[in-house]
Amino acid sequence: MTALMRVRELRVEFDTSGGVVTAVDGASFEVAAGETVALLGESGSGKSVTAQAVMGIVPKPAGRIAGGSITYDGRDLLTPGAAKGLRGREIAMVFQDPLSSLNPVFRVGAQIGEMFRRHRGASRREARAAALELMKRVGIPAASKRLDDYPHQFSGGMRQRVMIAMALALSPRLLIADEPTTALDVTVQAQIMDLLARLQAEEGMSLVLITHDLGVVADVADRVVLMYAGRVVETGPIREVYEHSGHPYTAGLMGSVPVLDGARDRLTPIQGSPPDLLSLPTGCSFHPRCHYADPLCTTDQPNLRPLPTPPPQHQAACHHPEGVLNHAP
Amino acid sequence: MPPNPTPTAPSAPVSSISSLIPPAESAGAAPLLSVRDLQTSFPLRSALLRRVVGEIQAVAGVSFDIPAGGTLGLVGESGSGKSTVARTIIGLEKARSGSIVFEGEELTSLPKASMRRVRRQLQMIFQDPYASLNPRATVEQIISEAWEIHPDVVPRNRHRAEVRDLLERVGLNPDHAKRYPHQFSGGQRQRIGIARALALRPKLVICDEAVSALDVSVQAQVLNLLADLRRDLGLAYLFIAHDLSVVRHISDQVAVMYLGRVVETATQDELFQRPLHPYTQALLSAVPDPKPWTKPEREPIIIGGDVPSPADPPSCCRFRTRCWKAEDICAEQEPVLETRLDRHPTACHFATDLAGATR
Repeated sequence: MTALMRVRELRVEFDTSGGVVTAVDGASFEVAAGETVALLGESGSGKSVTAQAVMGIVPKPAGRIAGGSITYDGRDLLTPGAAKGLRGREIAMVFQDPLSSLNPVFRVGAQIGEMFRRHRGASRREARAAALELMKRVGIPAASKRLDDYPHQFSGGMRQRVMIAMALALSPRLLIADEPTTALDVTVQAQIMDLLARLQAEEGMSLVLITHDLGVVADVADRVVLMYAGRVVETGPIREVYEHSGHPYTAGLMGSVPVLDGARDRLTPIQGSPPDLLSLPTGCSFHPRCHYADPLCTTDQPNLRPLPTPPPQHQAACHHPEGVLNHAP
Repeated sequence: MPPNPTPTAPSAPVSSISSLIPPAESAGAAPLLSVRDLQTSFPLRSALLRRVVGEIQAVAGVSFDIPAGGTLGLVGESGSGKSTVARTIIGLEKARSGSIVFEGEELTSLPKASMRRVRRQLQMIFQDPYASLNPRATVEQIISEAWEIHPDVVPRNRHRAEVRDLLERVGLNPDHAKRYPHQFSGGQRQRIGIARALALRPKLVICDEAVSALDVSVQAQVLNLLADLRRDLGLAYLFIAHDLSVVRHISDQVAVMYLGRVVETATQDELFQRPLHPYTQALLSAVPDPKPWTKPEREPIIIGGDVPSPADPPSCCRFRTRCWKAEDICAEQEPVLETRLDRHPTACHFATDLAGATR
């Protein structure tokens, strides 16, 4: 598979009252055509800012892309003008909070239809028909009756379906979903994840799922990109990463998640708290929380490299992956 | 709060109370907290005339017991009424009917002055570690404030030492007592909230989504802390959460709520291994599994639709509008929460024991 999107050494900075924060600090990863990639991380890891950089919506003037490149289908997204016509059409995005992403004063059908009117020059009637079709596809019951409802008349799950319908309107080849189910109840979350997986398969599009929840993506993602303090710390096929974690942070996360079955052992959390982005630790940002840290970790920042165990796509940014791998629970 | 003027329907049929109670763990001993047929409603006002046009029955007949040192997990999705149960127990909302007996005292009819005395034993940890701490008070002030109201707990000259002990107890640096909440991370703030709850040496701590706002690595630390405190101090918890994995991890007994009612209750083991109610089965099926490939292939139960509005709940069985087993009887006859299939109490006409078929 060839890469549809390639992020290289991406660096995004924000000016804050406390100084310059490097929210994304040299992140690199790829998304192949038709692939589902989970971009995982806790709050402050830089996962959402990475998506903002792809979509060209890094908040200004505080934020700026300070380095690196993002290419999509061979075109540089960061060169002004080059991305014209790509974002919103070929690359679409679904956000966490559908209520604040929809315009409260326009009817839902019109908002979906606007995609066709603006980009495809469709007539009002055509746009309405296309919107209806999309609402049916994303599983909104009684779609023809709901075309003329306003966003506030929809439940959280249905609003997220509306957002997905809008994102799909122009048949994107890459869909980025930023915490699409975080605000939803667990039964509705299951519906939305099911819908996204189904649409991804039907459309053959690439899907990037941004989430903090290790479990929610396990059923649907092919590959994982795990971020910590603005850097990619581990990446690989999801099963490899979850079962044979090569980075102590990944192993720590796996030990922190209570599971529904199996023994109710004491959890083995990661000690300490996520770092303050304004004063990141030297060397490997994870070293103050790491069991395996040695003097090298406090001075040298580790780069992503293949683990001693196959497959080569499974990579971790750690000086001592052997220790982590051998200590697998 | 004005008395609710709307005529109220007789309360939902409730079976003999004894059938609702899971077999007592410590036979003979009265439970620490005993809630019976609790109902709490909120008036629904019209936006225009501010007239009361109806009511939302947020809690519609809930019963459970918590023994001393035990943990009851209360799970449910948004609108299930689980937080209202907590707020009613602690006196932040007024119960419309039912009883709440804590250490042998009926809380719903307790005079205010006595309530203050009881409340000492009954503390709460809130979800939002940012909003629930006064930003202008130091940690020491936040924790010792309760001792101003209950001066007999800790004498003034012991305040400072006691705050240090508490901070140490919850895993914070005692030297940080003079710091303000904004100088702590989310997980540390939640520890401050826990220290504050412990300050009055309670017997029961209500944790309302106490770990939901935390990152998973920090959430695990706080869960371990809560387990340690329970072991060391003999605390009982009412642990309210929407995350079933977390509830399973910490609870002895679990009650599942849907739209104001308990639909199923059992020991932690029973409930997660042999759920009888279709809603519980769907809920468990919907919980994301971090390692699905280690499990036998199973058909997920995905229920359609959303939780209906609590302002207009379906008649009789409230889950019937989303239930794949629903038949006419579900709209005609309220399913009673009672022991079914010789296993544990559940409120479903068609309770089935999948006997490990789902999990």
